[in-house]
Amino acid sequence: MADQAHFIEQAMEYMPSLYSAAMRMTRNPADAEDLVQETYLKAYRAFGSFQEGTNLKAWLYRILTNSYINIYRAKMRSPEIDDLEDVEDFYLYHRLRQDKDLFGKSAEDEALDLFTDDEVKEALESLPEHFRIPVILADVEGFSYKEIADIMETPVGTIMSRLHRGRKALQKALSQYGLEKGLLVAEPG
Amino acid sequence: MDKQNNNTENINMTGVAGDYAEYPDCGDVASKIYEFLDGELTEDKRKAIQFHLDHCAPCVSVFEFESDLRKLVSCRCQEKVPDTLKQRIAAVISMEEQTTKLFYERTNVESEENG
Repeated sequence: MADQAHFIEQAMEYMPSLYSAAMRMTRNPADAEDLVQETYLKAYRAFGSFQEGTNLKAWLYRILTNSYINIYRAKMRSPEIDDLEDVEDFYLYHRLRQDKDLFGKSAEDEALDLFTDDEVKEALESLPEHFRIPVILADVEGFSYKEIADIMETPVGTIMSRLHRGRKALQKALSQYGLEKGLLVAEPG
Repeated sequence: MDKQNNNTENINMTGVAGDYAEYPDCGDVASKIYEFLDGELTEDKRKAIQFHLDHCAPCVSVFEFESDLRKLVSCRCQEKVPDTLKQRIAAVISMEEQTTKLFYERTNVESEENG
């Protein structure tokens, strides 16, 4: 059982990563600040039930994610069909490579550096919630499948499938920016 | 990934000696590349994929791209916490602390009065 007196010294170091995740979830600073504040208040009140020595970061993320889902009534159930069926694996890689004549050899690696912070953020924020949250937790925060499954209270298999589709959707969104920037040309057909 | 899943996959695996664990082909590598990148493979499978990557230029090219993309997403999505938020949270928690303290003090006084 954790002592509330130690809450500040233990929990505050996670604020930058919680705030970054909250920004990707809510998509604006005012809501992100409210969400992080709500998370810390709830975490402080519940700190007595936190098992000392277990994963505090994951525990805080569980509160953050639940708060986000409750406050914003996020739709966590995936629709039966989405339009990712025809998106091939490693979509962005193949798209950038297709057009390598434009840039020469291993253009796909250099092309990545041409995306701005805002483009990457917006591409991630454009994903539907049930994809976006696992991708934030895995690709931005580096949580394991098991940790994400615990945070989202969802089976590991479901998390893996959402991550797979979420990453495809992210690559598709990024390729849209690539198209606008002239990094790649429109897909034939 | 848990052990049970791995076993199921091995049973379903057909082709090269049925022994994906030792000799994954490009298709096996493609299907496991995210789990490899995510550090979610068993040590045997990780080594097998690594061995393939060490000897296959097309696969390593995809792997390096996906790895770079991961770093890009992670780096570009970091935010600086506004000072006002840090102050707000410190204030909210300190207020909560005071409230809790007052509540317990009052409860103690009442129980002493009653007792």
